[in-house]
Amino acid sequence: MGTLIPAQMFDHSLDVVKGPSLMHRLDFHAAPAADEVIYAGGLCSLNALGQLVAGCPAGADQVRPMPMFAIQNVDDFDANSDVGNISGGVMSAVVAPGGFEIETTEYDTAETYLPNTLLTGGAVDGEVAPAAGSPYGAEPIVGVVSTGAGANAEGKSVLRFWTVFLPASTNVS
Amino acid sequence: MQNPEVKMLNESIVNGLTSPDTNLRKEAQEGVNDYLRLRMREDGFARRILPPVSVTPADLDRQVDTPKPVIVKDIEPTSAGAYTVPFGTTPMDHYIMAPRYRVMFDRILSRRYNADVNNLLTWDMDIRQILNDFLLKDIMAEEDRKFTAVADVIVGTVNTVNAVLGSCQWITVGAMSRQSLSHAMKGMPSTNRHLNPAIGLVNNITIWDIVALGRDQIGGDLAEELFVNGFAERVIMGLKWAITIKTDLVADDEIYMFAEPKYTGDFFVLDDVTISTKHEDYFLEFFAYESVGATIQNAAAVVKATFSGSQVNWRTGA
Repeated sequence: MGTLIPAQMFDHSLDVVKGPSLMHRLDFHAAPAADEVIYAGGLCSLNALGQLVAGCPAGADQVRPMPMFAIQNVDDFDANSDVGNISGGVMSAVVAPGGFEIETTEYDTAETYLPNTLLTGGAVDGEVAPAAGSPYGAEPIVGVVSTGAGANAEGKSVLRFWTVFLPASTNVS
Repeated sequence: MQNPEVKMLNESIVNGLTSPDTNLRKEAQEGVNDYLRLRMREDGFARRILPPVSVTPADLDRQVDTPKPVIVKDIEPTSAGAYTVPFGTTPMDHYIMAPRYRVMFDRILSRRYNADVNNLLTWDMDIRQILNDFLLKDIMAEEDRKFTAVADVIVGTVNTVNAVLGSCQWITVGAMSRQSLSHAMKGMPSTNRHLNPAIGLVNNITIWDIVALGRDQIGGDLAEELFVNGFAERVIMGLKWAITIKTDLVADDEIYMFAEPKYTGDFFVLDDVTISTKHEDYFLEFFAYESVGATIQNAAAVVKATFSGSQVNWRTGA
């Protein structure tokens, strides 16, 4: 009797359910930082070197990382590849203020998500979670819950929300 | 004043690409695609080192955990070796295994250019040439950049032995001379896989150092011909030479040598370079894309020599 459960292509996913047409949507591509674990649908941002990292820190002063949501997993074959291959090295993400409603698997499933709840980065880098404070406070706001948490067609828990960006305004990182 | 022939050609292309007639539009787009593909075959050095092979969806291998296209290939297995025994001895068992590797694909995109149709009609230059310059050269440069990046990872650090291959894959060989050139040629056969270089890649500056080799170094007839005619693609020292103007990828005084493609890797083209055009009112926008998967799968199939410093031994790095 088999006991193995293989990974599936939808274990981590970003589903842009509403937003600009595919060919003109605001996405961004960059190399991920070395050894960075970023899942499809995960919150990510650029570090000072212009590399994608999981999560979106508050930043400081006039430098406030822009929240994005990854389209691929960092180790998808078109974003990374086996040694000797020329493909990969770059991954892409939709940019939060680009006007999207998304469904992502990358959120803190222990939390409750009522409509209009402000979202920020969760305890696990790459996940989103309810914001603890008010907008323009200590944490960046990266989304506003639309319909909330549920299961998608593949049976995975997903959170649906609008992506926004309200930067933090205090020097807390 | 525009060249009438170019003007007519440009009008024909722009009118075709902006025509409401889908057949005319398709015909114009295919004409441009054919032109670009022809140029693509000529201009990228990665494609000269590993001739591209078109693959179809039927060639792709499926995976459970990803919808990304991939092709799985076998690597020639290594044998367990033979040994001498006295009579009455039975053989040791060895279960047959063979390595495999995956060729993975991604997409290379040009920028999406746009222009007012009437502005395009004022160009003196062949619009196909504009498309070539705007779209194709950047795509080929990206192919070559990625290819060189992999080659650089494989050859590793200069004058350092790769323990797996029992030899350096990048050394300094001293200033350009017949002797240093032939020393460079020893690199690939010095590995424990004993391949021979088939194609050398140098930039358009370094090649003149080879042209400058005198009668006493490369022989009278060749020296004279190179002096008179310059360097056309030819075989010297059994090596076919690829010359690139991409000096940012292949530095002066450096030569990369690659084994024959069958020993080196793959260059699979899933989507050949294609131009996508869109016409809305008086704006025409276009971009090009392709999807390729290429590998340098055999680490022993690439070496690099730098014509500077002191000459070191391929096997010891000293």
